[in-house]
Amino acid sequence: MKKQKWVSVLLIGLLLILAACSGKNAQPNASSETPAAGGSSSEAPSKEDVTIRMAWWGGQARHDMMNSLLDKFEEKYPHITVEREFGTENQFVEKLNTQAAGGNAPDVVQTSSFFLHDFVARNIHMDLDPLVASGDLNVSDFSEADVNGGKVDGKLYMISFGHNITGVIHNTTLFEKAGVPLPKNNWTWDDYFNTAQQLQKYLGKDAWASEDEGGTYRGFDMFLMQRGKSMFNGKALGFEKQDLVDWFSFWDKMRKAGVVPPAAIQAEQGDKPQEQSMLARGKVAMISKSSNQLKIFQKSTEDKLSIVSYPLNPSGEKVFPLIIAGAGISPDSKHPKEAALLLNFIVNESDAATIFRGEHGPQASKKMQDVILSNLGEPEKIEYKFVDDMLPITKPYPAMPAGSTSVQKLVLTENQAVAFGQKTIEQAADDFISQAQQILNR
Amino acid sequence: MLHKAQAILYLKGVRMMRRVLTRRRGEGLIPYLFLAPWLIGVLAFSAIPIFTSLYLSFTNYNFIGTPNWIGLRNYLTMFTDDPQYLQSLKVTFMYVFVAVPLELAFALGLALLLNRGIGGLGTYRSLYYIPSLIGGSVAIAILWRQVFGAEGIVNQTLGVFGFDMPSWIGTPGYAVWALILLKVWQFGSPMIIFLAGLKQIPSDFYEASSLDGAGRWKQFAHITLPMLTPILLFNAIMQMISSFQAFTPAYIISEGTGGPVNSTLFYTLYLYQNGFGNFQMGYASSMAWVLFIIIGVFTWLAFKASDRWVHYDN
Repeated sequence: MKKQKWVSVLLIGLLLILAACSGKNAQPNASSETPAAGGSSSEAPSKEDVTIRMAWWGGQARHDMMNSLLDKFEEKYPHITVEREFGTENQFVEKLNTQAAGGNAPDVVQTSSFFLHDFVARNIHMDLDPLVASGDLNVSDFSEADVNGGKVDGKLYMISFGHNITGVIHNTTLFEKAGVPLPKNNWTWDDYFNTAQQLQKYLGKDAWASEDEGGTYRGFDMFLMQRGKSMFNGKALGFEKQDLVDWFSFWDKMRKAGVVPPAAIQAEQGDKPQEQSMLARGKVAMISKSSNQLKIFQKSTEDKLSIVSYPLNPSGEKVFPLIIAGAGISPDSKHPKEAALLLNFIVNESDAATIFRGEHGPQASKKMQDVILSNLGEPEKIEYKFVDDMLPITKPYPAMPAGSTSVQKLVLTENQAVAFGQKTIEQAADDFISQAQQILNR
Repeated sequence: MLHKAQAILYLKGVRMMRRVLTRRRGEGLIPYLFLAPWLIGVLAFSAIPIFTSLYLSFTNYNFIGTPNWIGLRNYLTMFTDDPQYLQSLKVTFMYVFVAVPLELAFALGLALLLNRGIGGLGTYRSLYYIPSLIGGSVAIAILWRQVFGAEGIVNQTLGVFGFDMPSWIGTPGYAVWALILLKVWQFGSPMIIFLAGLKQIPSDFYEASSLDGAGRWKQFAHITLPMLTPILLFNAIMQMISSFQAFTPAYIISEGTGGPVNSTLFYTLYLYQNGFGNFQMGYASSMAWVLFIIIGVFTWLAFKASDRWVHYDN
């Protein structure tokens, strides 16, 4: 009996040691769980040490920027520590959704118009209106478009870091060499095609006027908007087969005219980072991307780049979706006040603005834009002017249902099938519609 | 003396332990305590997730709220209403049944060469083994993208000989071959196993047969190959299972799309797209179970057929 007791003592001791080891990580959270007592204004939350987590996506340059931004924040509010989680856009979304399903989402989560509706449906973002009402978040300097773009069903979920509009980024050096006049805002699809043909005469065989963008759902979505439609309507498709046939036909015309790269080269290009893109390497002269990427592309090439509006349907609606990048707060957050303090710092304080320098496009707050306006570089000046010019004809980005990722991929796959000559345009459009409906109803 | 004392102490210890562990029923718990670290691991990270996924496979679950029971609908959709699923099956079968035989043939060929008593065997063995260690990695898949690109080293080399090839990665008919070659390139681990097998074959078999006038080819066909069949079976099954589950190369090389035109849409890649792109966890789980059944059936078939061709010495 005695020996038996000795064994159990040993085992229990072992368990205690194990428990002690694993318990350490949980400690800081446990001690800071006590609610922020009495902190009514944003300047005076509880002075107890608090750790919050923030997650974002981006490339290395953005990670560096975010890190120094958060260091600055911690310096200013020494009682708050910000743990950082970051990765590429795809990694970010997958990880975040898994964390959120486990009730473990970071306190502050980057988001954008593309994800907002989905994240709200998945309970990853909380309603921020109470924090605005209590003065923890200040959006009074924000432009109306930025506030509206952060709303779902009338409630504010996203605090805008900046806004951008998809346009045609083009290599003006190549345009000048080819002697082709530079495109102007509000040009039409016919202008786009004619410009491409003129450029191609100069570019010859190893470079092309434009990328083959028949597979980009963002482009297709804008094409549909000009027809007063949209890719999705609730859980169903928001357009007819003929719309897709017209879209594929336009790009087929571009391919047959030889102004876009052959299918295999376009397929290999995929979604390579800006510095490896055909635009940066001078292999294509035009590409449709978000306006905030102009400065990133410009860093990778000696040629001069500029941006104009996406081609328009002359008889259709003159409208573009406004893409907002920002952040929300997780409903799981134990420290919403501190999270709000961080968001407020990023969007309303000049310290933050000088570090972040309109990474996501012109900031929501005009005051913050003025802080950095004087030391903006040339590409940013072009970008800001483009966005300001187009802002009046934008509307918030349409909502996307579950399964939209696969439907977006179908645009790419079916456009490739046409480009490789595996399907006729009619077949591709039929297959798209039936597969998309099947995915959305699954 | 010392040894004797130690032995007595040891025996006493054993007897004591035995008494502690078995004397009473209540004490039956103690073995489980010792097993606990392993048991908790198996339950938490294998058993519970496996059965949860079986349950999810009969539901519609998108990470929000509770899963909806929909019976066999996921399984029916897969085979009757999802052309991309059938495409992923086609691509995967093509990959498995081309890449594995090629890889094994390559591995066996090199093992035979290395087994001829050449100098520096250790060095060669290590060199050829390296691709197996790193071949499944993200870094190699990225490298492969470059190597088989339109302006990659493969096309430049072929260009020297006057072959004008399109981008392997970007052309539907070629892309899967880049993946097959990547698999074949990882022949190192079956090669090591073949080499070990070759060393096991008694040399008197060869001596006796050469006295009877058998040439190299006859020796290979009638001694080496039959003696190696158990190892061949082992290698074939292991490689088949890992090929059915291949994911990283297709994911990286097609940038997650399975393109061009779904030509590299591996089963696991499509499963992943459904689970983590669309958050259709129910559908992804049912796909996982079908893959499990497919692998099970083919492994069973391989064992079943092995009666006919695998030769066991005893």
